[in-house]
Amino acid sequence: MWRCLIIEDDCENARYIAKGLAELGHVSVICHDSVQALERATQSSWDVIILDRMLPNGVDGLAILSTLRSLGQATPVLVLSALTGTDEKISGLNAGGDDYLIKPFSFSELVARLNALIRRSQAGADQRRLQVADLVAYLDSGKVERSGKPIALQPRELRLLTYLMLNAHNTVTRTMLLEHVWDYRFDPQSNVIDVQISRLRRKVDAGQATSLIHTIRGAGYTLSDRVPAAEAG
Amino acid sequence: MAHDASTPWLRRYGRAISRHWHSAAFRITLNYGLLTILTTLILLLFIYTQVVGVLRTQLSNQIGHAEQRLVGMFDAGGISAVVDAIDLAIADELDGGEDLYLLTDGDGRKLAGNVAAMVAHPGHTGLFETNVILRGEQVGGYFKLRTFPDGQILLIGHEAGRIDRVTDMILQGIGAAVALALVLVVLGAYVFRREFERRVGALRTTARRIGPGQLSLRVPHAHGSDEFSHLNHDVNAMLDRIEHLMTGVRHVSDTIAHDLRTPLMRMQARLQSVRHPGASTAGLRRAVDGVAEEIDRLNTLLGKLLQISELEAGVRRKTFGPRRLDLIAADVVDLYSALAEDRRVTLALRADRQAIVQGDAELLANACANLIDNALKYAHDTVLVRVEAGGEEVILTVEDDGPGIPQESTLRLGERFYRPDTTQEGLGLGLASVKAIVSLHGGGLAFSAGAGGTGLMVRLGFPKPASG
Repeated sequence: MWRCLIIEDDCENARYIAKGLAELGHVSVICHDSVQALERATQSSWDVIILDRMLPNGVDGLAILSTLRSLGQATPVLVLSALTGTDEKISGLNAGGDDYLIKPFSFSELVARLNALIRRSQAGADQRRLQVADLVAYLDSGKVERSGKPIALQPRELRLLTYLMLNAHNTVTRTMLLEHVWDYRFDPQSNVIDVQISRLRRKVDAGQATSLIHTIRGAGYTLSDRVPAAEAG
Repeated sequence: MAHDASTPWLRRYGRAISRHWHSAAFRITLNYGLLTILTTLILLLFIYTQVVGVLRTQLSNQIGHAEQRLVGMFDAGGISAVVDAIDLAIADELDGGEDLYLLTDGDGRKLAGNVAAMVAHPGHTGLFETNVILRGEQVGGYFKLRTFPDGQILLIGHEAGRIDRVTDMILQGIGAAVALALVLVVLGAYVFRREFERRVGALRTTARRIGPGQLSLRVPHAHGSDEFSHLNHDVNAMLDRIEHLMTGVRHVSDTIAHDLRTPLMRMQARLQSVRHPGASTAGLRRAVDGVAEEIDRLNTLLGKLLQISELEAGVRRKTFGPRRLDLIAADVVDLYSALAEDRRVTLALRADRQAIVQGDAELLANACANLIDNALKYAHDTVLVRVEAGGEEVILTVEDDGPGIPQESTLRLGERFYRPDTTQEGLGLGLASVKAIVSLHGGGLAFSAGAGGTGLMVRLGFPKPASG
């Protein structure tokens, strides 16, 4: 269960997020006002803060964010914005945001990103050896094994697999993969990511009893040995 | 009272001055004029001191000669000869009277001369200037003093009148010249101001009228090729660009309205089809999925349009730096390699190393991805990506061996929403954003048939960054 603080002046959008999170069993508190938001953010302990950039009275959410960071608050913050430019994105991340999501977004994208953020903030420092079921990746040497048998991967495939393993059992979206594995923030028109994933899947899952890489329809992918509910293919 | 009467006049005068003073042309001309006057003044003063110096030397020589003559007399005939010579000289010059003499004996008694009394004199024997009494009047002059062996003292000199007259003349000349120059400078400043105002006026009038929306107006073309006509030309070029952009915006909003309608209609139809009571859950689900998909598509479309207009506005240029186009292309080729493999198309990269372009890595990658994406859609079995840095430009070409497109259609490639082949999936924005990215980087976009006469080759040319 996550404790989420939603700082958003658009009541409808805030309620939509809170309701969706509640359905997944998380608790969220909505805050519409920027002054109150700062108090709330500093007084209680949160797993994640969802911060809208545009707040009432012309307050830029980034101002709240940098204040929080200057107070030593390290809670992961996901910045929401209707501003599309990559520049905006970069300034959001520079102000101390951990991720940036542009409105309108799908709820599954939001949840996938929150998941990745929370995992990252809770993960210990020792992430040099990743393991999911019988799949093991050694990040220092770049070696990957499945059931003790080595798998040969291209550098980019290794990055892709690492990202999936870091977010094991959670959904990662195509845009998350593009941003974190390829460092691209644009949207390639064709299904390049799907094809990259299926190439990786052939290397990881071929000849294995259980497949680990699953497609989540309408959302993205997950790497897990538990078969997800919404799997298709 | 006089004071009260003069105040409004003064105030009006002050206002006029301050109005002129606020004109740049007036100030520049005035300052320049004053500077010229100052330099001329320094020059004239130099000439003045030179002239006075020459006159004094002349005078000194003249007095020296007269002195030598009298000394010669003394040597020949003693002091009485000197007295005679002085009397003669004074008598000769009664009318002009410029030479001044006084001869006294050792006790200060006057022996000869036209000067009334001996004056206080400096200790040296050189030329000195002082005032003496001549025929009851005080006159200034330059003098020398000589003591004869018998104790008599000779004061010999010359009236300063001539030097004074010359210096007065020069000073008057300088004064008159400066006064005249001042008048000319002020007049010139005023004329320049008028001319300046006239030249800028056309520009201002146009700018004032464009403000409220008459964007088709242009600054009248000025003859010649001075700074003003260059300025007018530049302003007109800027206006052309603004007008072009605004027309573009209008065109785009028309097209968007049209393009939004189609998916909206489809969504409406889908929703209508399940609106009746008794619609099956499966049907409802399909409709919702379909609408969600359409909304996603619309969202992507709007995002791309926004990106293109952002690019065209040139906002992104501040993130520019030297980037290696060969590495960027290699990364994108890597991203698409799996897709190419899937479609059984060979995606090959031939890149010169160190192909450096001044730009934004993300945008360059985006352009490259768009081109490769397109090429893979149409290619028969090969897509070749080349990066060449050998020539004048850094060139990126993406070539496919597909069906190509007719020559006449290449002209419209790169327009928003233009799709020569509507059977393939797409928004018709890919090449438009490539075009916007390339022109943001100061480069050019060209289309031609592939090497074998078939297919399409897209060529992006980027200017090489200035070395150094």
